Amino acid sequence: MRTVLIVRQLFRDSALTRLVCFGYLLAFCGGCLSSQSVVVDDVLEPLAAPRRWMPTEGDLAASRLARAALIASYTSAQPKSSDDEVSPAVETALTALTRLDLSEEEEDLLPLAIDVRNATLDNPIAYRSASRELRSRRGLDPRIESRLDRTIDDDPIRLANRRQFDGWHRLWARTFNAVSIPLGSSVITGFVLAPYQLANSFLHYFADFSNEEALSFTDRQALVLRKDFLRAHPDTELTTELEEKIEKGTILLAKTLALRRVRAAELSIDAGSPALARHQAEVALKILAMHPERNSRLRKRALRIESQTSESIERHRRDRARSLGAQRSPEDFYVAERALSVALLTSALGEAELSTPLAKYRKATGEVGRGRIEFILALSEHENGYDFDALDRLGRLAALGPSSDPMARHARTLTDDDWQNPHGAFERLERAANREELAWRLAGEWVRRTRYPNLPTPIAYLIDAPTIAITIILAPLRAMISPWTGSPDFRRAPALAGYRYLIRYPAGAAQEPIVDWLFNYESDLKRWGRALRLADLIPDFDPEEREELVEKTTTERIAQVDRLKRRDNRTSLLKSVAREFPDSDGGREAGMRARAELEDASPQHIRITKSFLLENPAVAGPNGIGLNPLLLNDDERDGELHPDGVLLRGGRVLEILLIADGADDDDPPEVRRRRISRQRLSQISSSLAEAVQLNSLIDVGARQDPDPNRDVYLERAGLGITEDVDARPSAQSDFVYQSLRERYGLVRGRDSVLPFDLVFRASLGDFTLGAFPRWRRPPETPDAFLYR
Amino acid sequence: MRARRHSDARHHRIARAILWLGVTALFLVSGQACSTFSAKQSEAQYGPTEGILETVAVLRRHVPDDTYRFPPASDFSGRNVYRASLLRLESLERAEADAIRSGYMDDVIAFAKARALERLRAYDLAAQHYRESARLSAEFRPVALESASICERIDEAVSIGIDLVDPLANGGVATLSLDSTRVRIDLDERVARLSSLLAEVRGSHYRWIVQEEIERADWIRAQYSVATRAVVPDGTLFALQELQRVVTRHGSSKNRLRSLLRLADFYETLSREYLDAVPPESLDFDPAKFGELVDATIRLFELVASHDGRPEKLEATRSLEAFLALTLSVDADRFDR
Repeated sequence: MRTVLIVRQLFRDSALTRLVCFGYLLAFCGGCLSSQSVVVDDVLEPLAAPRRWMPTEGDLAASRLARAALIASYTSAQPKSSDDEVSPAVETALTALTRLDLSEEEEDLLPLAIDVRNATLDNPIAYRSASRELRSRRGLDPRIESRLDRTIDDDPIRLANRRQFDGWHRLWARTFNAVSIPLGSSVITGFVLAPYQLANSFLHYFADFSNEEALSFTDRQALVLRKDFLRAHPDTELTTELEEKIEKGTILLAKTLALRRVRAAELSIDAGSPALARHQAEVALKILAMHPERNSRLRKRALRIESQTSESIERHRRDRARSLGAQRSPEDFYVAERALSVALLTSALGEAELSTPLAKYRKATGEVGRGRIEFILALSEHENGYDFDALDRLGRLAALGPSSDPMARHARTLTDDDWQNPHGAFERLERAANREELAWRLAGEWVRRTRYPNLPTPIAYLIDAPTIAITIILAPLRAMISPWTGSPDFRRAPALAGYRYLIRYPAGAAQEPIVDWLFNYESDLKRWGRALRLADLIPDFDPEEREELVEKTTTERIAQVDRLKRRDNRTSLLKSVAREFPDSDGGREAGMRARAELEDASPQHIRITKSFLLENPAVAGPNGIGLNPLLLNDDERDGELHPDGVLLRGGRVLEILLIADGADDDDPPEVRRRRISRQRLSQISSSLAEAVQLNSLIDVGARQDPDPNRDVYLERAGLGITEDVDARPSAQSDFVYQSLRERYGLVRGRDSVLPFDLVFRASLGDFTLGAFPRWRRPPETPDAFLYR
Repeated sequence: MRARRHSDARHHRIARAILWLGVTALFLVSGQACSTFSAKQSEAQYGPTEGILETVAVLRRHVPDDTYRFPPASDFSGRNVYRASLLRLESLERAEADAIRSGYMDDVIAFAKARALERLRAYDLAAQHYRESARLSAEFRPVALESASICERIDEAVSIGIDLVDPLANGGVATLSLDSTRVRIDLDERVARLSSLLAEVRGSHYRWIVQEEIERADWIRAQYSVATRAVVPDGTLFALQELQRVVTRHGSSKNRLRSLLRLADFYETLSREYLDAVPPESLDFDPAKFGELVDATIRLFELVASHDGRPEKLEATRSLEAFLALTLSVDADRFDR
C-alpha cells in the first residue's frame, strides 16, 4: 500500500474523530443505533479433500491422441509423406476418438482433438486452412474459438492485404471528411458559407497530399509481410504475383527513403551543416542506385546537393587551413612587439605592468596596432574584474570587422561564444525569447512551421492564410485563457545561459540581477526546489517567503513519491526530504510517511479486491482462497470482507482485510494475517491464473495488465517454492486484481458499430457551429511505429 | 498625328525595355557585389595571423582558463584554441627562420609554445620549451624555470602506472597486466603525487591541469576495471564501483556528463549481456534483476539527456531510444515496459 494512504488514514483520525462524533450526535438525536458490523476471526474454510478421478474412455482416447501427436514427427513407424499431411498414427487416434460415444460433459473434446490433429501439420498454410475449417463448426467453446481466430488471422498474405486496404481506407476517410465537415459546419449559416468552406477544405485536402510519402507506413507493413511470406514459402501459386508486388513496393520504398534523406539534406544546408547535408545526399544516392532507371528527378536533386555541399566543404577546409598560416610583422615593430609579448606572457595584466610596453608598441605601430592594443586592454580589464568594460571594448573591436583589423575576429569569437561570454549569451537569448514569445502569442504555432512543409513556403502560407488571419485576430482571447492552456517554455535557453554565468563568474557584476531573473523564472514554472536554492543566493531574502518556499518544495518532492514504483526509492526520497527540511510541516510528513513505508514493507503487495472475488467466485471458493462464504454475503452482522479484499504479502502470508467493528466500507480495514499452507497458496495461484485466462479469452477488455514480478511470485507459489522469500524491492509487485466494474465503471465504453462518429462542434476559431459525420480512420497496429 | 503617337509609343516601349535592362543589370551587379563582399569577408576572417602578438594575446587570454570545469575555448576557426595557437606559432617559427632578424623572437615563441603544449598534455615537450626560453632570455627565466619544474613533475607523475592506449596502434597493443593490485597501487601513487602538487599550485592555472590529470588517473582505473572484469573475481562489481567513483569524485568536471554516459553505457552492456546469458524466455530469467539494470540505464540516460546545450544530450537521447528498442524484444510479461 502506498504510504500516502496509510498516512492519510492516520492524519484523517482527527478529522475522522470529529466526523464520528458528529455522526453519533445525529444518531443519538435520531434515535438510531450504531453500525452492526462485526469482525470474525473464522476467515478461512478448511481445504476440500482432493477427489479421486477415474478416466473415461474419452479421456484415454484423448491421451492416446496427444501421445501420437507429440511424437508424430520423430518416432512414427509410418512417417508423413509431406508437411501438408497428418501422420497416420495421429489420424488413427483421432478416428478412434470420434467413434466413441462421448457424454455431454465431453462435447468439447472433439474440437480440441481435431485441433490437436491439425497442429501436427507442419505447413502453416495447411494448418491455417484446417483451423478455418474447424472454426466453421457450431457450438465451439469461446476459448477454442479465440485461439483459432488468432491462428487464422496470423496469415501474412491476409494481413498484408488488410494493411494495404487500411491505406485505401484512410484515403477514403480523408476524402469523406473533406466533404462532410465543411458541409456540416455550415448548416447553422444556412449553407451560406458552404462554398467557401468546401473550397477551403478541398484546398487542404489536395495540399495534404504533399505530406504523403510514396509508400505509406501501411504499405510498408504489407511489403514486409509479403517478403516474409515469400522467404518462408518460396514455391506457392502466389509467388509470381508476390514478386511483382514486392518489386513495385521496393522501388517506392527506395523513393520514400531517398526523398526523406534529400529533404533532411536541404534542412541541413539551411541549418549551416554542409557535411551532414552531403552525408544525407550520399545516402540518398546509394538508395537510388539500387534502381538506376527510376527516380531520375530525385537523383538529380541529390546530386545537386552533393556537389553544392562538397564545394562548400572544400572551401571551408581551405579557409581553415589558411587560418593556421602566419606572417611576420614589419621589422620596425620587432622591439615593441617583443617587449609587449614578454610582458603579456610573464606578468599579471595590471596597468603598471602593461603601461610602458603598450606605450612603446603604440608609438611603434601607430594605427596598425590599434586592434591589438584594444584586445590587450580588454584582457587586462577582464583579468582585473571589469568584465563588462572588457566586453564593451571587445564589442567595439569586433564591430570593425576582420577586414579592418585581424583582432576583430578574435574579439567576435570571445563576445559570441556562449561559454566565454555567458552574460552576453543570456542577454541575446533573452531578447530572442521575447521575440519568439511575442510572435507565438500573436500567430501561435504558425510562426514555427506550416502544415505543409513540403510545399514551397509562400504557397504553404497562402493556403493557411485564412486560418493564420483568424489566429491573429483571436490572439487576445488566447492570451486571456493561456494561464489554463499553457505555453511553451521560451525562457529555457536564457535560463541555461544564466546558470552558466553563475557558475562561471561566481563574483561577476551581474550575479544579483541574474539570480533575481532566475528566481522569477523558476517560481513562474513552480519549480520550488530550484527557486529555494536561488533564494538562498539573494541577500536579505524575506524569511517568511523562504519558509513558504520550503513548504512548497517539500510538497513538490513528496508528490514525486507516489510516482515511484519501488519502495526503497520512495523511502529514500522521503528520508532525504525529512533530513533536509526537518523543521517544516512537509519534512515532518515525509518522516512519518517514511516510517509508515518501512512498517508496511513486505516482499509482495498483490491485492485481490472483494469485487473481483465476487465476479470470480472460483478464486474465493474452496478451490481457491477458501474464504469463509459469510465474508462475501453482504451482511455485516456476520462479518464482511472489506472492499480492498485480500492481500498476498509474499512468502505464504495472506492478509484478509475485513470491515472493522462498527465501521463501514469507507473506513480503514481490520487486518487478519494468516500464514497459509503451500497447498492453499498453490490453489490461489492456479485459480487466479485460470480465472484471468478464461476471462481474457472470452472478453478482450478483461485482460489484466502484464506484471512480471506478479507472475514470478504466482508461478513460484503454484509450484510451492515460496519458502525463500525474495525481499528485493525490485521484485515486489503491487498489482491489484480488480473487477471489470472497478476498472471500467458501471457502463463500459463500446466501439460503435457505425464506421463514423457523429460530431457536434462549436468552433471559436471561425465562429461556426455544426454537426457532421466523421469517418473513423482504421486504427494503427501496435507495431506501426516500426514502419515510420 | 497617328505617326507621332506611334513613335511616342515606340519610345515608351524602348524606355521601358531600357529600364528593365537597367534594373536587371543592377540586380546582377549587386548580386555579384554581394558575393565579392562575402568572399572578401571570408578572406579576411580566415586570413593568416599577422605577427606574433596576435597569437600571444589570444593564447594569453586563455592561459588562466579553468579547463577542468569548463570546455576549452575555441578560436575563430572552431579549433581548440591551444592547438590552434601552437600550430600558428609553428607557422610563425618557420616564417621567422627566413627573416633578417632571425632568432629575435625565439624565446617568446618557445615560451608561448610551452604554454600551449602543457594544455595539450605534452608536459615533457612543454618543459623542454620552457627551459629553452629560460636559456634564451633572462626576462623569461624565473617564470619559465618554475613552469618547467611543474611540467616535469606532472610528467613524472603521469608516467607512473598504466595509461590508456591507442587500440589501433601499429605495433599492436601491449597486453594488460592482470595484477590488479599493482595497477591500483601505481595509480594511487600517481594521484598522491598529483594531489601533493595540487596543493602547491593552487594559485596558478596549473591547478586545473593537475585536476584534469587526477580525473584522468581515476578514469584509467575505471577503464582498467572494465577491461579486466571478466578475469577478476567480482570484476563487474569493481568496474561499476570505479565508474561510479569517477562520477562522484569529479562532479564539477566538464566531463561529468561524459562519465555518466559511460556509466549508463556500462549498465546497458550489462543488460545486453544478461539477455544473452539468460534469454527472457528461459526459466532462469529474473525480471527483477533485469528491471534493475534497465532502470539504472534509463535513469542515467535521461539524466544526461536533460542537460541542455551539451552534445552529450543528443548522444544520450539517441542511446536511450536504442536501448528502449532493445527492450521491445522482451515479452511484456517478463519486463514491465
